[in-house]
Amino acid sequence: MNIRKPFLLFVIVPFLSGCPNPAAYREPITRFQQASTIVIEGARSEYGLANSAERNAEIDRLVAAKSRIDLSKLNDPAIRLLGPDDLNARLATLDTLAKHGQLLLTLASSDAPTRAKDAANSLDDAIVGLSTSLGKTPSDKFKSSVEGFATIAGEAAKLALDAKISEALDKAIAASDKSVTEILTLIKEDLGYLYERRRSNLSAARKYAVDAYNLELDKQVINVDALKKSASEIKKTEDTWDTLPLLLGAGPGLDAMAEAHQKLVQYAKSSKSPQDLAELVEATDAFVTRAKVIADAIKTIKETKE
Amino acid sequence: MTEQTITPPEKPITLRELVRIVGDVLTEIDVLSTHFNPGTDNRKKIDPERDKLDASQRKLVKGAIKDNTEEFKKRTASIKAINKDIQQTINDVDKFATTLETVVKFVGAIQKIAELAP
Repeated sequence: MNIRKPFLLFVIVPFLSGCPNPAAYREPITRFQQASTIVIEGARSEYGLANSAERNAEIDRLVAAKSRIDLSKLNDPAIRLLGPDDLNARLATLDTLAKHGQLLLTLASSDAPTRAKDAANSLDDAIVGLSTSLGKTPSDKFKSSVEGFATIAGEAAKLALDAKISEALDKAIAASDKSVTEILTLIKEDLGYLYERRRSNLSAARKYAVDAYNLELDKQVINVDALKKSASEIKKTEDTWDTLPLLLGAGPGLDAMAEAHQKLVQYAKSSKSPQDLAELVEATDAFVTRAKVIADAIKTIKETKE
Repeated sequence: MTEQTITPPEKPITLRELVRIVGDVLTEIDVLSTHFNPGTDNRKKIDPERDKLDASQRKLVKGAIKDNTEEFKKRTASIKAINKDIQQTINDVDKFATTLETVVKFVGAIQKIAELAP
């Protein structure tokens, strides 16, 4: 999402200022794009795993309580963190941000006039999907912020289709200044809540592992193999507990993205001196470093889902 | 003349902060619970409270609760104080009865807040 905005800014700068050396922006733009892709995909994974992680935690709870499992209980909306409409709206938002970024990149490239149409059409399709998803969700902060972004992105897509490249870039910059920041903040809030649920579920898993060991230990005839198996499970859950900060997932990446995005906005508004560019490159590099950590975090979250 | 100190009013709790506090208490309950085997009297008392608190945290996380309303502020007003009471005993297994009493109070207060979800 933010990726696109920064991209726009990078792109816009040479266009609007008539900078003679667009190649200078190529590397920071590319790096920003790579980092943003990781963060966006990370957020997508976290949303995608949220409900199944809750369902698995419920199964663990029922097993520990030696309770019957029935499918209606497992599919009870009460144990879902996100309803189907809420989930679709969030995934559609991430998709639109990705397509928006792609349009920006295309507009910044040397063959923009020939490729912009495809990118704009793709963004247009994403906006249609997003609008449909938002139509099914109740009015809240998320919906109003995303609607604002969709409107501006839609206008940028239209200008690109009309081959008004510079204006399309302008529009994308305008969008990046406020609505992307708002969307990033909302997604970060969402992911913060998902982290808290992961922590609570993992805490329960630690307890179940210790319980299983202690129950085996208290049997009159101890099954050594079962005891060792329980001990292994304790080691596994404790190791995961030690990696708790990694379970923060893409959240910290959204902060880094927002910071890098802000630098992009500042750069677009600056006189584009070498110092301005150096600051931008520094912010982008910091974002890339953070994104590498995010990639590991997402891997950990996927592994601990079970 | 004696010097008077004025304590500034406590900042209202946010939903995010509340969810984190509930998570902390859940974790502490889990640690305490492992001192007793499942099925023992103490576990029969604390496990249902843990389940209720977990379900309430899930409701809070679903996010439909606005934390800038007067009702939210009213229902969360006692949370920090109850949590402080929990912290006094939860790490001492010999004070299980007191801890349980405070946890029950905490869970009741959290359930009241979770009821704000539409």
